[in-house]
Amino acid sequence: MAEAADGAPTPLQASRGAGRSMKKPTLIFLLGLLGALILGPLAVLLITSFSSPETLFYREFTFTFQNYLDVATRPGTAKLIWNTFYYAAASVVLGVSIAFVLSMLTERTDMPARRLIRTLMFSWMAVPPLVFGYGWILLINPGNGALNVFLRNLFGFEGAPFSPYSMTALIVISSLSLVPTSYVMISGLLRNMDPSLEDAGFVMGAGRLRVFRTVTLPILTPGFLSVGMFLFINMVQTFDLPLVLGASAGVHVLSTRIYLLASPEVGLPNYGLAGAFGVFLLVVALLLMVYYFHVTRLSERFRVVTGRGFRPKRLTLGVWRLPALLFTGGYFAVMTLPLLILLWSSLLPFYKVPSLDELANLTVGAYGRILGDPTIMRAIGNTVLMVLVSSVVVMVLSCLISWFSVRAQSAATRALDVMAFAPIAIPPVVMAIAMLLFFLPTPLYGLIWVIVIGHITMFIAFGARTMNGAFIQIHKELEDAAEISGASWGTSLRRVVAPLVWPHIVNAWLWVAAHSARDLTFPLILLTSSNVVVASKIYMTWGYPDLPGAAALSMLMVGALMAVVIPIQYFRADD
Amino acid sequence: MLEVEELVKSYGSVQAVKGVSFSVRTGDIFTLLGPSGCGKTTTLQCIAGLETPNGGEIRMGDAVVYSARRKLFVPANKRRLGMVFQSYAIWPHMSVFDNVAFPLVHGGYSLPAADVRARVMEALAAVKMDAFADRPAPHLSGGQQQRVALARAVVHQPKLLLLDEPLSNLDAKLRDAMRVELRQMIKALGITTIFVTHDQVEALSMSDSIVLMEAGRIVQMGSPRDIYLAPQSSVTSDFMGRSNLIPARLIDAEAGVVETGFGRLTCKVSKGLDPSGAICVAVRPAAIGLERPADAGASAADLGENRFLGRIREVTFLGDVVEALVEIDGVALRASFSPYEDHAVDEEVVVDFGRGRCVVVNDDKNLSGAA
Repeated sequence: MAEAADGAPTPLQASRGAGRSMKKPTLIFLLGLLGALILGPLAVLLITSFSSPETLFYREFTFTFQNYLDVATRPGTAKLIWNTFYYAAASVVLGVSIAFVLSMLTERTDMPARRLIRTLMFSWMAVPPLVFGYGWILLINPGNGALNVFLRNLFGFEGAPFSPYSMTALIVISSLSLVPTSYVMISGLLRNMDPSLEDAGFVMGAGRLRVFRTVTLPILTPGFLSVGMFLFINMVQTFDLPLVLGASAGVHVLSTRIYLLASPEVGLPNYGLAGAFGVFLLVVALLLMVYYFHVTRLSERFRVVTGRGFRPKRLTLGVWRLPALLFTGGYFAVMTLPLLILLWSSLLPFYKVPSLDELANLTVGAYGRILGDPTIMRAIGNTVLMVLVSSVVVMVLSCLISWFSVRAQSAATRALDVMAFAPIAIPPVVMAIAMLLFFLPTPLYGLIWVIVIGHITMFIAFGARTMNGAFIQIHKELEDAAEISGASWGTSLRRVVAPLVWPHIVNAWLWVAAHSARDLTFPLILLTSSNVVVASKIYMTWGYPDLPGAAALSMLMVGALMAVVIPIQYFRADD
Repeated sequence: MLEVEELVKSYGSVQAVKGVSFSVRTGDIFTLLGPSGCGKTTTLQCIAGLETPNGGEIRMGDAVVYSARRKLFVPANKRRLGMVFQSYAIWPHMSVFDNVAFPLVHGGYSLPAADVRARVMEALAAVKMDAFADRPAPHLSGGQQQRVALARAVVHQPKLLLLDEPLSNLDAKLRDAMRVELRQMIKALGITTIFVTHDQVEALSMSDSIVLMEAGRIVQMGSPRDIYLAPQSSVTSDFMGRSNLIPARLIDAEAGVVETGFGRLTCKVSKGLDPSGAICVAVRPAAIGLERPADAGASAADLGENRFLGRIREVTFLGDVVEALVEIDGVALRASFSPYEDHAVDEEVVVDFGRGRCVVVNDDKNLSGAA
């Protein structure tokens, strides 16, 4: 018992001496690590861009402006910049428009199957853009694209009504794959808007449409602007779809041009020129990011986010129910078609246009073949290792970084916060090439770990942002109480903070894991014979060409990701 | 038990605490009182070790926990304190038992599980929450959360208990009940307690000793009676409940005679009065007596010391008490009387300022509005 013989409480004796706090060493470690991860490769990239073309800077470095002169004077440069901006702007406008309609339907009306729609939207991250692009090639390529063939047979068209190899097709397909991300962001905006602001409008006697026009839209406009800007920056940097669709059509954007300079199909890589283009794209992205911060600072003034979950009144759709369902159903049909055609292709020994006659020839042969292929087994092993290590390390680092930037504000933690966020402004293709140049002279080059390091660097921005949002919601006194109780910093993080933000950790982890698995940029640019992962293997198998093999591997990957993503998303997609 | 010496804490260029010193006797409930932004919470956070001060020294018993001179800072988790937070900070992912057991399990004591159980149940019994040990923390009412928070703060027998506005999140009725109960529970445990509040009723009813703070400095220190009845400045008087602050001119500092807008008053003189500074007379509404004039023809001179003729301008019936606005020679004053007495608007009354009930104080903030 706690009582001594005389009834007075026995004083507790501390068994632990005064240990040193781990906070300061951890902060120094994080600053050093982020500095090395981000600044190291970028410094090498910068040096390369100033070294003479077709040499490797670490063998012989001669300072020259040649690469930048080349970039400035090449006849294609202006066209390239125009293409990049046009592509990004057009896909964002189209994608955000579709996403806005869908999120209004699921967040503000009595549309049926809302939870299912939310789940599917949040789960789309399980489909790599690469796979989506290949699906569309199978659907609408001018030769034997399934849709083209059907339309030819139905209406007797001459030639092909559709082709994936044009700027327009690239924009439409990219905007479709942008819809889920936009939906996630816009529905978040809608959910966080206090409906009493709208109610106030109704009470004053304004009608639905007028309230929407005079209250809802103006309140949401700053939010839309920042979502649009954010996605635009993303699309300027995007790589997978422009590579798969645009490069075959001769439609180039900055990211694909940089890749082809660093990894040309014939000839030697021109790292100097790739570096100069990379620095150029980096500067463009950084300027956009500065502008983005300017815009979002403005939107702070309109802040109506209170952190509470609101339950706005839902509009009754009435006669609009059918058109709304048709629109949503149509969107999902368009998203599913590429996956279905890939599934079909994976089940035939040779690609044939889908028809009832071919049903008898369906076989799982391609799956057996690829699973028996040791190089594919190795790619799968590499992928599992890459995904697990990079996602877990990202989450551990993100939690620590966010803790410092939310709880321990100082100049050092602000620097940490900025460094963690900086990779958002670094195009993945630029970072991948910077990593390539950084690790080329080291024995690490060619190992899967280089890709892991690349993914950690790039995805920390997302992890830290998410965890910042999570930690801000945790009342500081909950941690103070642990500290006063005598708990060390580590104990407080493990026993109090982590359990409270656990749903956010799982969510962000899932996002990082899925994006690590589906990323093609790093695996392709850093590709050697020993670090092949599933994404790069699909790319290689498709180009080989082994169409059923590529399709089967794609389906395996999408299936595996969905098996993890969908259940988690369903449980959190509350209506 | 606790000594704070010349404590300074700044945030950037803003000094939140400007050289505060006090000492707390063992077993006392010691209150830091003041309006929001006066530095009381910052002082408490410095004592807790949750904030690092910029200057001064803090000693607990024989141990120095902070000293600017010796560059010494003992972090919060090594100070062995108990604290009840404004939000209670009950961890929602744990049961009541786990919340209370936390300081014993993670505070570095290495106790056997049976011992932990016994101590936790004992602490819960002390706050009458032992029946709720297995309940998940989110399923508690505000009052229950507060009891659990108190149990968690004392389970490891801390040297010092810190209470940061523990009653401010309760509704009015519960707050009245908890005020009394909290004091009883703390006194039963016999722990030295630092209590932070902005509510003078809480401070007066719960404390053994009060420090009134304003703008990062201590304005007055003393027992609840001292602080209430013998204010040393217009700020104290104004903050500790309603007061009439009558602008006045000092005639005789020894005898406490002042000249006001309506005549001479003889008052108590506050300790440490600066006779050369601006002064005013502080009178609580309850200290002013209202009587019906004995005969209507009496002149002011016949009434006697500290008595004047006035007229009631406004009457507000509040239930427990009736408030009146009385005017004497154009000076408006608030007075209160019992609901069983009857005074009407426009009635002429004799206003009696009890001699021991008026205090001459320095008007340090020009609260009386004197020119």
